[in-house]
Amino acid sequence: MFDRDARSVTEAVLRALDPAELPDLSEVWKEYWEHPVHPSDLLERDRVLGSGLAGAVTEWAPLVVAFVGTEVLAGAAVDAAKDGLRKGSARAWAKVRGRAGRAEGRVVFAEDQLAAVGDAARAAALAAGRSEPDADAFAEAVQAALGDG
Amino acid sequence: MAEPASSARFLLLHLSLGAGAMFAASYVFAVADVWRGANLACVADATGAADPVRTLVTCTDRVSWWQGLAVLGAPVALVVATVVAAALVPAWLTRRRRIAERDLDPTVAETLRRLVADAGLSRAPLWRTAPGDPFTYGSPPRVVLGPNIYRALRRGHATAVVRHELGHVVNRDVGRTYRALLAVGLFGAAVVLPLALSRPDPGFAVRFALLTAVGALTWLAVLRTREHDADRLAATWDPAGMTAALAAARPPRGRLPWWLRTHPTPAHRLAALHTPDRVAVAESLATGIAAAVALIETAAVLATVLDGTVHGTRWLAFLLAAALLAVPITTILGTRPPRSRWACGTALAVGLLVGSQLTPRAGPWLGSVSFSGAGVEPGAALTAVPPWTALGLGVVLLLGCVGWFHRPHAVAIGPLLGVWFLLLGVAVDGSPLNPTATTVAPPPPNTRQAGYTCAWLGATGPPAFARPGLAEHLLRADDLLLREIGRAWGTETARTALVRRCGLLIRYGRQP
Repeated sequence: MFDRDARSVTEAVLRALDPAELPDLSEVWKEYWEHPVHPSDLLERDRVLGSGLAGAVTEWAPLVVAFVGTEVLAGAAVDAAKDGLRKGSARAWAKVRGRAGRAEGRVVFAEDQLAAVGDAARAAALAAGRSEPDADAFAEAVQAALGDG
Repeated sequence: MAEPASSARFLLLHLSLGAGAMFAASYVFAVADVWRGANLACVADATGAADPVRTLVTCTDRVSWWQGLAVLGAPVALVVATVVAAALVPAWLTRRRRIAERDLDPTVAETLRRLVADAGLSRAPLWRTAPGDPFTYGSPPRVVLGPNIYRALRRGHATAVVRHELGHVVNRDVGRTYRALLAVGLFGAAVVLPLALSRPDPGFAVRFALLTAVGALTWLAVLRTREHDADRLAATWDPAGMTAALAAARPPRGRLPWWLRTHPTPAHRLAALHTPDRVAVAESLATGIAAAVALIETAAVLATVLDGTVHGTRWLAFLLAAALLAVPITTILGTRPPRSRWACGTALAVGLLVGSQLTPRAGPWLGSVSFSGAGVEPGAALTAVPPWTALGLGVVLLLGCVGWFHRPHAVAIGPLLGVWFLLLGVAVDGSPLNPTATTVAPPPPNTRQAGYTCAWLGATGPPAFARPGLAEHLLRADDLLLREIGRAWGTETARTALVRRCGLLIRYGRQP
């Protein structure tokens, strides 16, 4: 049974990728819930007068928060909510709508689900402009955190 | 410290835009009918005057003077509009990009202080925050860093990115970049777009498109070069950090070739980090094109302004224009070593040759229209020159340009260009292949009668040419009339002035 909130999952993924960024998580978390973005939006478009060096500063925290916060937990919780609605219960969906900190999921991830989440994580990292090795590392960290619940 | 290479390209960009603006103004004011009313008013004044010929010439000279200034006014107007727009941009950008101040925590503040000290800046820029790629704007300069950069700085990372932005500040290219961006935008909106929508003459459209392309490509080169300059400067403060940052930078998206991009690829940036910038062939070619157009237009304007006041106006106009243009040419091409003297010299010569043929004054539509009463406008069309003469002119220009790259100095290129363009003008004007050269004929009596004839033709031309039969008759009489007028006038200058005024009026009469 997966029984952790979004914040703790995010922390687990970030700890696996770069523990040095953990002190920044609160700030990134706050920024994200003030202006939620899809992981692909993290790939900043090239601006005429920009430095062109945006990619030189790689931070894991924004990607982890955007992916885990929206795609995994919200997606899984939406699935759960749909199941719940089919059973006549809307409580899970209400939790999703609660967003930050309250977007709790109580979901058991099967092997094939974890594999699908891993693929999604990899795709999200690539969409955010990460390299292939970075995308693989990110997928592993997400799978480990979710499978560890 | 030597001026960064981007300074020369900024100058090339402004030269290209200035040439483009003069080019467009020359076309609009010479070919379009905007001066018709003023010239016809001169005819009306002359008809009732005691000395109609002198009245007509004096009046049309005044109109010509204003026409010349209008051509010069186009680049001046572009500069003024750019400066005004540049003053408004920082406030607009602050709102648009949601740029905010940010309290710096002690670690970040200390890091930034150290980076500013390394850059040798006496005054730190203002630190701002906004999402997205770091950039710098405004005066005093404001460096905008995303929240991710601030977080990275807290951990001791991302200093190379900040150093790169400080490189822009030290190179003083921030204000220049925004002004260049605005100048290009205003040129596109106020010059290119209206002309494109006006369905211009195809010959003009091709020439103007080429000149616009030179300006656009130069603008992109300016943006890329300023990044190289900032990288190089940042690398002098922290070589390893800058190399690592460029190695980690993400390649730009899309499939555009490098020369159409606003930023060089990280691979190009890394390669250029320790390579001194040299004058490229493309740069020489673009400089030649822009300089030739600007030189011919400037000479024509100077000739108009000096007309009738200085003996030998034509020589003076060309030499003065060349002396003016020698300064930007030398700054753009003469302050760095060329990749190859022969290649760059040939490219400069080809550019000058192409530019001399691009200008509207080399076009067929200016046949009988002139700004200058003294016949000093450069008739630049090489097609009107015998092939051996054209070849000789080309060889002289080629050897001159290649030789100049051995010791590039404004004092050398000025006379070279002045004399060469003057020779081109003389060769074209004196050529038997030039149809307009025959309009100047030997002198003779009865000036008053010729003046009256000319004034009558100018006054009655437009309505008369609306009737096909009469128009054909008058067109047949056109050449004879001009010869007659030429004979009728005493001094060469005055005779040429009158002939060209009549040509101007007749041409207006031919307008549908």
